[in-house]
Amino acid sequence: MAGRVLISTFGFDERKVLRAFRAVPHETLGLVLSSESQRSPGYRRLRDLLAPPREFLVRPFDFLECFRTTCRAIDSFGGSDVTVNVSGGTKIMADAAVLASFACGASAVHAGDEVVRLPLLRGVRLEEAFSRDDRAVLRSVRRSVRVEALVSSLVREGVAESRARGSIRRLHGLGILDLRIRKGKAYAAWAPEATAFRIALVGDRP
Amino acid sequence: MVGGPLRNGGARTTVLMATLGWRPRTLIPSIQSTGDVERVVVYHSAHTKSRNARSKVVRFCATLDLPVAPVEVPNAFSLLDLAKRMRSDYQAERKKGATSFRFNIAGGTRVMSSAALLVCILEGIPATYVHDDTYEEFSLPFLRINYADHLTGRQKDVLRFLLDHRDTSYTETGLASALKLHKSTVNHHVRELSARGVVETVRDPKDGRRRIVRPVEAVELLLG
Repeated sequence: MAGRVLISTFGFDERKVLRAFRAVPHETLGLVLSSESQRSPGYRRLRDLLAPPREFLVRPFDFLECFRTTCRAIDSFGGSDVTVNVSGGTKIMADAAVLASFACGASAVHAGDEVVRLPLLRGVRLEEAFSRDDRAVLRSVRRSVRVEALVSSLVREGVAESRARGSIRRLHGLGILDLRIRKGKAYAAWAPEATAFRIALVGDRP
Repeated sequence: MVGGPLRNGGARTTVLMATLGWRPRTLIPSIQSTGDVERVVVYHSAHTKSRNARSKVVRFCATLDLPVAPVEVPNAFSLLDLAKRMRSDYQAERKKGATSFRFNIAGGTRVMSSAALLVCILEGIPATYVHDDTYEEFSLPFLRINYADHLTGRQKDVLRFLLDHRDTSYTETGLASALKLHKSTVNHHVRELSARGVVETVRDPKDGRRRIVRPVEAVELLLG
């Protein structure tokens, strides 16, 4: 086990990482940063002070990639008490880290002039927003799938047909699933806008 | 719930909320792409460039005959104050009858953007990002998680009491007395709430021997 973990987004200013230290006692430090940040003087100063942190490289202007990587960083310390400091790096890195904390049930702080704990309930993951039937639907949708085949598959898993159809409609209404008609048959797929949910709920499979 | 697209072909009245920095171009794509925008609420700072950007947005909206409500925030770096203000405005819009929302969180300071994202998470408002260079729009649909549902009734009682009596320092013993509960019961709930990250137990600055229980500053946002 890694003990208590602090994961911090990092751009060029090591003070944004260090400010979180007093508020977030930890045994293990992780950094979410770009390769450019690794060449900065702030990074060298940080490395001079501390034992080598675990590092998770991101493209700092790619929201989904930042989100995916931060989720992976949080989950890599599985079972540990993880807090994410979102004050470093680009705006996109920071927001992706907020979203990743929410999705993965981690605590989050913003270490600016004051350290503010964000009101996200530790341990409550994104999947809590979905019913058990909804989660069964979402796990079963990989690429585009015929709705009738999807319903049959869910029924075999023990979901009542009416609940399966209800979940599919609800998820479509929420913009999580796309429903399209092709050659007279209805097909369901993850909506492109829901990619972040897909990553958080079922991993980044095609 | 969620301000997503209807499927019944009914009329839409979408309120578009947005954080704005120096560049109107982070907001305009959302006005272009969101159908049936009823009005725009724009949060910006007192910086000259932000005010200039606001003026451009107001003129653009006037050209489209689109009502816009600019909100100049007193402090563009106070996460909780910003989140409270945005959430309060959202709830006021809902009371006025608005049923569909979208929040463009691309502009403004990093803190403004994070505050807006937090409100989107807590209220289930679909959020939109606009890429800095390509101005490509990226949407994040949100589902509202009612965090209060994940706390027991007793935990909520303890939390509400602490919030209502912020100005008084309570030890666990004092809390038990005030709530007329057994100390071990209070101890159990405080431990659970602490594990959830919503209260903390700290040394009393006035008397280092005492340990007082206090709610995390942002927890009012969580309870709504």
